Amino acid sequence: MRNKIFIFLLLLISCYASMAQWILSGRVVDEQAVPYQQVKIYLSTDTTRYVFTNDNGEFHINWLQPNSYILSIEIQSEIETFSVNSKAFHNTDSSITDIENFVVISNKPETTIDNDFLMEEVDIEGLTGNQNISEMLNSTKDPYEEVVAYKFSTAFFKRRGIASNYQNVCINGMRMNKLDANQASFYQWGALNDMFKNQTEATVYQPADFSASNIGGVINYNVKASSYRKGGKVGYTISNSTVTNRIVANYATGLMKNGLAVAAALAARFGREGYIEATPYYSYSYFLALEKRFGKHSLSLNGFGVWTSRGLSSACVQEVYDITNDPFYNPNWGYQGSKKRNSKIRKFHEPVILATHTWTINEKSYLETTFGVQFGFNRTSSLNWYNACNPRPDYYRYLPSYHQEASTANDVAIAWQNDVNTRQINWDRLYQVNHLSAENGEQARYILENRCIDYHQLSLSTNYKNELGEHTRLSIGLQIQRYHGNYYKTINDLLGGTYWLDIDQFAEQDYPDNENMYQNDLNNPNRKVVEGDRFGYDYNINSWYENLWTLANFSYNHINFYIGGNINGSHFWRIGNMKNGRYADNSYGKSAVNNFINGGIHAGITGKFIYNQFINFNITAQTLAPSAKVAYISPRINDKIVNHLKSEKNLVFDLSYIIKYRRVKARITGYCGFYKDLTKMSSFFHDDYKTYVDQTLSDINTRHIGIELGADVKIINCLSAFVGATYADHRYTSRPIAYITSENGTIDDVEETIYIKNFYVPNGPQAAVSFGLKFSHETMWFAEFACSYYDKIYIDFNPERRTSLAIAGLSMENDYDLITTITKQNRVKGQFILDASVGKLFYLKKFRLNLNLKINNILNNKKFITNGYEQLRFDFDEYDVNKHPAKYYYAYGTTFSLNVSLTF
Amino acid sequence: MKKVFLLISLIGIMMVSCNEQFDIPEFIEPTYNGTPANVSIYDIQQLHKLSGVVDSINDDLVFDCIVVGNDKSGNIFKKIYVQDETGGYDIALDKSYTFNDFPIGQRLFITCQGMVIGDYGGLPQLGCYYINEQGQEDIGRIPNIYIDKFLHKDGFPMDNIEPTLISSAADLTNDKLNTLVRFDNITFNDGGRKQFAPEGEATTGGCINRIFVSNAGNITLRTSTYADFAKDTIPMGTGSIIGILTKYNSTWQFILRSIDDLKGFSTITPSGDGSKNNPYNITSAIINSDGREGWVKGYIVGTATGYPDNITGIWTSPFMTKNIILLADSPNETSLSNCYRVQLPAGNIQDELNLSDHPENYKKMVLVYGTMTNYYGGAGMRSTNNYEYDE
Repeated sequence: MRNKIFIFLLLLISCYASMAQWILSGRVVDEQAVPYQQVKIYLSTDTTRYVFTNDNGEFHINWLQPNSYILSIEIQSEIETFSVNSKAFHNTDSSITDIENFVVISNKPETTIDNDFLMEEVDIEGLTGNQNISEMLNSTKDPYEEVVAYKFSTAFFKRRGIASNYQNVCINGMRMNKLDANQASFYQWGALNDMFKNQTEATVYQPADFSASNIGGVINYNVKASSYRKGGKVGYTISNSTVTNRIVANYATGLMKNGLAVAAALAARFGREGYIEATPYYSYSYFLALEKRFGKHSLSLNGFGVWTSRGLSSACVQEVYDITNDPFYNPNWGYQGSKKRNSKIRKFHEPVILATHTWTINEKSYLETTFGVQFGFNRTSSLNWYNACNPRPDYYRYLPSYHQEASTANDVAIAWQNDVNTRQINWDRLYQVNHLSAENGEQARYILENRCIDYHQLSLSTNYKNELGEHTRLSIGLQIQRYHGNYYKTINDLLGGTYWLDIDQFAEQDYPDNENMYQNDLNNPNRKVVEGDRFGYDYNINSWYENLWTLANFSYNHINFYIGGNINGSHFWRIGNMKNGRYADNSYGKSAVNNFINGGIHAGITGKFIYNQFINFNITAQTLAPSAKVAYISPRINDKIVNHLKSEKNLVFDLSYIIKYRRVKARITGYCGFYKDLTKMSSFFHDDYKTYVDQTLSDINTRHIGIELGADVKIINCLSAFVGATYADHRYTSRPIAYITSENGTIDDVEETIYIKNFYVPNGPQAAVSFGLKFSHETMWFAEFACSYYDKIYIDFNPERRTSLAIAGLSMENDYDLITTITKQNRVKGQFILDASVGKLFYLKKFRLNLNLKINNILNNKKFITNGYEQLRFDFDEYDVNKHPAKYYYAYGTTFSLNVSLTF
Repeated sequence: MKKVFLLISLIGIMMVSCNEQFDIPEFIEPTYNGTPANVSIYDIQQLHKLSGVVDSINDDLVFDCIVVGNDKSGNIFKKIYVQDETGGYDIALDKSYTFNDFPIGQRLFITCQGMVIGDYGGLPQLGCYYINEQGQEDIGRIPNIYIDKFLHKDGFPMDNIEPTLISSAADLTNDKLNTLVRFDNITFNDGGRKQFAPEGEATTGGCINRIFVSNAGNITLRTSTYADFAKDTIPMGTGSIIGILTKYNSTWQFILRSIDDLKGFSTITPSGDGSKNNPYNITSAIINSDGREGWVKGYIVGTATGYPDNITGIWTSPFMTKNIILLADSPNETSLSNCYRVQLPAGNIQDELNLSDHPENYKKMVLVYGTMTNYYGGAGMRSTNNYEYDE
């Protein structure tokens, strides 16, 4: 894919009077003189105006006067730049009589580094909020965005401190965000990165013209079969990270003479164990793209999917990491016989099928329409138990700290170190206990249940672009989505038992004489369920979303500006399929429909007053509907809506200074965002009360300000230095209201004010920098070395600890220290990480062999807490914050990946 | 195109199966292979001399016993009761839901080396050593981590452990403490009127005492508010009771393992509201003996003779007395405690209802109206002034 590009420019012998129009022409081919089709060409300083090469690889630019320029050629998100001068122009009146070969050798380092592993979705059980790492790779390779995508993702960095529901992710223009939480799932095309390289992304100075805009960015993946060059690739990667083996294979025919194009890809990722113990990973990906061109129209069909089964780890309290001396201890597994069995297995398969129609109406206007469906299942297994003691090895009562007697505590620690059945799940005991209860005709004490989501989402999007004049481009579009999700749980494994009773165990204890109160489904009381049966909860969320948007782009010599807007509607409702005994009146059947109408305006201006230096300013004001996920307080058992549910209001703006020279590219940006009336929902399983405790926070206001800096400097021809850095201050500016409820009613519902004004928003490190060197030599050796530092990492906090109730009975005079300990926000230490990679490219006849080795965290820093959260339980009796301490997740130590791939 | 298929087949070869099948562990019979039993429970108890003091067991002493009580119903908390032929022990365990690991009938070998013996209120206890808040040596629950060190299962749990029958006060001896015993023909003083352990009643240690009368005297039944039968009504009538015999200082106490430990008691639920259309049944009338007036219905099952406080029931003809009939919910009732004594005042009522003159009314269902209170030493009706047969 990274070939040398020879650009032949046609030279003009004579030129006429300037009355005739000037045209800059060229043809883009590779070293074997095969033309590149559908490649985007634009002026390096103005990305709003571009042309595409035709079937012969030719392009013609007609809006420039003869002068010196730097042109950018974008091939599958790789950008090559070359300079042209006035000799490259010809007049429309004259004919081309002579051709001079003008050879430009690509001087961009070949990125042989396979960054696919950075795009792995890291699954962490128990993290509140968004777990997906944004995998948006900026196609224009702005140095800061490149650092964010390839480096900061290790630290779970969130760009500008906001969650991923503010990003619109599109495929062929179709919005992929799932309506339940408004987030896109990058795992739906995991390991298919080679087919998703054709990206267009909104940047600070270039808004998206293919989709409604969104504050966190918009990205579109073009997966039409004709967008791939003819050729294929086979590759294998071995690693000690989350995925240990990876095979990819793909092939594309490119656009053939008959107007047909086909592309296909297969990938497999597998390993019995990854970096963390007992995390098996098996995943198979497939991709097929077909396209047929009919004159000005084209019809595309795409189908792809990833089937995955993987074992998860969970964050643990620090004590557990200390007594095992292992920051990667995984509490979810144990030996069954001689095999390691992980109780938390996540399986999913969410394929996507889409059909796209494009119509190049004329050279000024273009229409693209895509209709698609994404559907599938996503389920995670988990232990559950009834009238039995907690099977989880890291339950707080099984830890040394539970014992006051020092000698007992010490013996517990020793047992943890020496006895695997103390340290991990003792599966054998679970079976023996279940056999015993089966002998007595009683229900199983321990089971493995599956928490399932089955869904399908239909999406339609259509996008019309028109160049209204020399300086104006207009885009207008419509996106419609319809989501239908079914949430339920089933028995996965009875672990030697014969059945399970579908009732709420603790409600049973509280209301022994009122059988109705402890039913999960009054329509089927006291049901005995076996493997495969649904039980516990079963409900649907249905949602519609429609968005009408428009964008107008104006470009002049020294100024570009744009203005756009959208108006959208969100509608969602819940359908309960079980009549919960404690909420008989509002759990079964269809709930009220929630409707929200929202909209937004965004505008920006880029000014160029000095050659290759720009100032850019953007502002967005919008309102955003709450998603179904945050609206329903306890959707498993009733259809109650959070009290203060409303749309958010967002106002964000940023100011940037950008320079784009051949040797130096840099940007410095200051941004500021105000977010008002956010709603957040989190849920945790209370081990002692055996129930979910649901917490909804509403009336959340935050303010995010910060500076971003990115620079790429070419020191000498083969060596460049880069840096990407940010320093931010993202804080809460309100005191949200929390509504906390327990699903079996053992804890009374409370509504409280949470005193977190000025707390930091725990969305990743608020200070991060990465700098290093990139080496790329004409002998086809490549290397990179980077040093990164992350700081201002605040862990997610327990809202209940910041209430009047938590410090009730304490006085500011006498207990000031205790109050501070209870209420202050906690931060973890900043860390350094060193990465390096080296690679070589071999040209063998028609093949290109790519070898590269990447090593992350060279210094094996095992102290990097990337995620931390306080447990959502508080010891109200004794104010002891250490009774349920925070849980942490550490970044991996040294990992390597060795990649071999053959491209032809 | 051909290249595409070639590629697919290449990849197909390298696919790895991901369906891990796990061996299902079988139901394994536990076996103990350590030091054989060399003492009895009685021997261990002899090691404990002074009350209130804690003695450590330093020798490799092992005894063989059976689990007779655990926390399955929630009535017993963090302990199990074990017994052998010589006596019983309560072993305090710092573990919840012990019944899953130590079911009733499970044979255990207890290796005592490292445990301590003490007592609580005169009751012998086995546990672990710890220093209490007053800084004294005390006996505490065995931490979870040590349970497997001291308690060793052997064999599958056995069914049907025979409790020891207590037939008189002489049978209440200390060697029966913490063992499974049985009383026959007991009656609860609060039968039909109170629950075993409702929340809100004054409790000591989360438990509530109820008295039952046995042929060994009055025994205190102690029930925890956490028992799954805590809100059940104490049964009326006479029956048998099985459970763990305990003591608090000089008072004999008794602990049920589950509601199934009560056998033979009246199982009829009270009903009715005293109106003629919906009269009280006998079970309900006995509960509501507070002086109210109302209709009561029941089968005529006999008469009675003797002193008011100690009457004897007459269940077959000749039915000698005329001023009383006995009504019951069951036509075949022969237990006095399940009967309702109905006064037949001289006059029409007595002439028409008495069994002596009308033996044909035996086992007929009748409704009577009067004042519901005590009569002849038990729940009954006075000033009966109306009646009707239920055809």
